Amino acid sequence: MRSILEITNLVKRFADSEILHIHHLVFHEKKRYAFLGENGSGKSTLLKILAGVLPADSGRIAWGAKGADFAYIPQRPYCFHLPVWKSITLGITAKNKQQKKEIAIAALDEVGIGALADKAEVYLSGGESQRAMLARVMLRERQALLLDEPTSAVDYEGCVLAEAALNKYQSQNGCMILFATHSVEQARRFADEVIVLQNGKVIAAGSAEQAIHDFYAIRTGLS
Amino acid sequence: MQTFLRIIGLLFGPDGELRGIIATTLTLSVFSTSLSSVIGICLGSFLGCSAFRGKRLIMRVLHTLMSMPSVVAGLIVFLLLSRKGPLGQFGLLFSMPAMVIAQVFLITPVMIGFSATTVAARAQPILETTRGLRLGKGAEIRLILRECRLQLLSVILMGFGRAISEVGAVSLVGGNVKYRTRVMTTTIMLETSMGNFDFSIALGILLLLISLLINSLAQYLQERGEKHLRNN
Repeated sequence: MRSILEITNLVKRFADSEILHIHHLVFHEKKRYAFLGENGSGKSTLLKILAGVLPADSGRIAWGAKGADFAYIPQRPYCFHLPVWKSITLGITAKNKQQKKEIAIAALDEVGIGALADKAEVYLSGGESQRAMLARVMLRERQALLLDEPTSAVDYEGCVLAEAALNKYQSQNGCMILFATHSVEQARRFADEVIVLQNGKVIAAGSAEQAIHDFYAIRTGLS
Repeated sequence: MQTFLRIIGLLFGPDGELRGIIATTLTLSVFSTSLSSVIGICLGSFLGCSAFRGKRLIMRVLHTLMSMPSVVAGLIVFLLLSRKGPLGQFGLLFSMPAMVIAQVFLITPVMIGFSATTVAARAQPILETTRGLRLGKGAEIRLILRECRLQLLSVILMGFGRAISEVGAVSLVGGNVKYRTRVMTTTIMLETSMGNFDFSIALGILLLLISLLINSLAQYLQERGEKHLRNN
């Protein structure tokens, strides 16, 4: 399996304290990785650095042959004063207005909010807007999706729909999905591999079951 | 009632002086606000979106210039445009362009400062979202300006308010020349000093009515924009 992303000795500091230090991680195509950890463990910072939103202080980020071909959803994405269908097709230039609306509605249907296509995005609820963001990234052919707590405000039914839509997207284009979550259940259910972060460092990584087992062992102090 | 009738009489009477004064005032304010808006919103948006070494110093200078007294702005422009000044060769002193320059000099820092604050409040989450989609610089700028447009409209209105009510700079560089550079505020000053209080009050009321009209129009546009979104 081809590697899509490799991180080596990545360091981020705020003031004088080191808030992130990743020694080495490799991510492969067609796989799903979950960053699991408590608040302030460095999940969002790492995703922001990978997305180019935040600069790293040192280290190396090497994207695969296609370069940095990714879509990123921040933890608090901005909701535009635009109808949802227009907002999620921003930057898509190859199609006319009618075609754009059709593909937008199809993508929104996948995540269960097709009926909200004409509503202004700024008036969506938290869960609805997160689903719209997922529809937005799935409208683009990218080799990597970087998702920062993409379903934290979505109800269980919506989560299942969103995960099914992401499954379908991945099976169609073979991308790598990297997502941050607080939910151990979601990590177990949706990720192939889990990377557990604590104080900016990887404390466990591997298959979902193994990493989650290690995570609980560390938290409870059991070896 | 008498004052009101006097306003009507002056506005629609045979003597076109008041109509000329109003036209000069509006032309001056619209020109200087338009120029300041273009410069102020462009520079303010840049400052609001970007982080660089020296930005804090620039903001501090800008905040100082925002509270610059209008007579000081007028004096600086007067010295620049006076016959022995660096721009004296253009012979602009006591003309409409000189008044526009003075007002632009006065209003632009205010426009830059408020535009920067407005844009900075929204730029970060918008940029995170747009960079996540790799939309490109042009689309980023368009979206930021679009998302801040109602607030930026308020900034423009504030600039217009400052321009139309300003007296110090325009009287210094315009000279209050009848039929040429006489505007409503300088006329109020002149008429008051001559004891024509009725005329001054009439002009003051008219000035307020013009401001009310423009602000009402802007408020209507803002509310219509909000309503259009809510109905979608």
